[in-house]
Amino acid sequence: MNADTGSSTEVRESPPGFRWWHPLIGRNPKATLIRAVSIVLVCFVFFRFVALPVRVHGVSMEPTYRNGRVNLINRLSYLKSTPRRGDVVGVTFTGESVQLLKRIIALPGETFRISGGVVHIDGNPLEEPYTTLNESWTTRTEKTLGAFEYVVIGDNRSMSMNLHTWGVVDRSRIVGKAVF
Amino acid sequence: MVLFPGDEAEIREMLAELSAAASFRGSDKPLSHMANAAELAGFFTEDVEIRAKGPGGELRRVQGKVNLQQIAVSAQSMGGGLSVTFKDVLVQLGEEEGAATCRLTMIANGLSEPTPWVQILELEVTDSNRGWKVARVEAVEAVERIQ
Repeated sequence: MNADTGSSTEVRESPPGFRWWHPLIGRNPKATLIRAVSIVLVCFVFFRFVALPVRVHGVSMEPTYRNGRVNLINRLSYLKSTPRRGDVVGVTFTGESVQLLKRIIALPGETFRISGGVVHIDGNPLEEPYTTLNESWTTRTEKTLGAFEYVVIGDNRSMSMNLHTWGVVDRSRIVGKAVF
Repeated sequence: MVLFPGDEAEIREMLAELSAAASFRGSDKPLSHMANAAELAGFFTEDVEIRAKGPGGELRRVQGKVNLQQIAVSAQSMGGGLSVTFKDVLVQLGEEEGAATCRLTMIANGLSEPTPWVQILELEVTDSNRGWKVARVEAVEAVERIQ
């Protein structure tokens, strides 16, 4: 309150010891730097060695994963267990920048074929609630998988079988399981 | 900038230029198609051999730089545009000087295609008088298709 003019002007003063950079880097720049470096390190380790961020390109996993959706591949998911049927996994090419995002439908040792759009494992039809079916998908041969082989395939079977990348992959190419 | 790049750096640079040359826009004029195809063919040896699968899964074999150039012109004439990028390039220099093997992941995005075409390629490159050239290209399957 200003007594001379009678107007009510509020004067705000900075607390003692305030510097203009405090809102930006805090009162203790050294501690802030250590915090920032720690956060960067944790993020680097997490996104490099634990959960690989991926962006879905293409329509082969629709309707489960839409084009452009971001996901994470958990690299630790198969450290103590083996991939299971139904898992959506990342499959590498020559490195980890590009991966196929596909669903595992057949496991090592199993015999696999597709007939009239229906997947058969060891002769028994596989129930797949996640797919959009196409009755024209049919394989000419049966395939019995080796000890470290899996069949991976996309959920979108409404597209042509020839335009769809799917088939047998070696266990060593499976990076991890999709988180979401 | 490196004044005297090693063989591996030169090969990587050549591959980056090759991927740019393999890309084209759908709006390019026919004269540009010829020029682009000639530029692309310049990265290959005269007797280059290419064995790769097309997006439909069919195996295609191209022998010779001249044939490659003709195919490149035809592909560009079909329009649509194509963007080619090479990722995760691994270069292994050969025991004898002037030879190397490269393994890379090629991503080809056709502008009219909903899904990119991803393929592992194995390339044999040789050092000629005019720099590194691709002598052989072979497609390697990351996923073995069941027929």
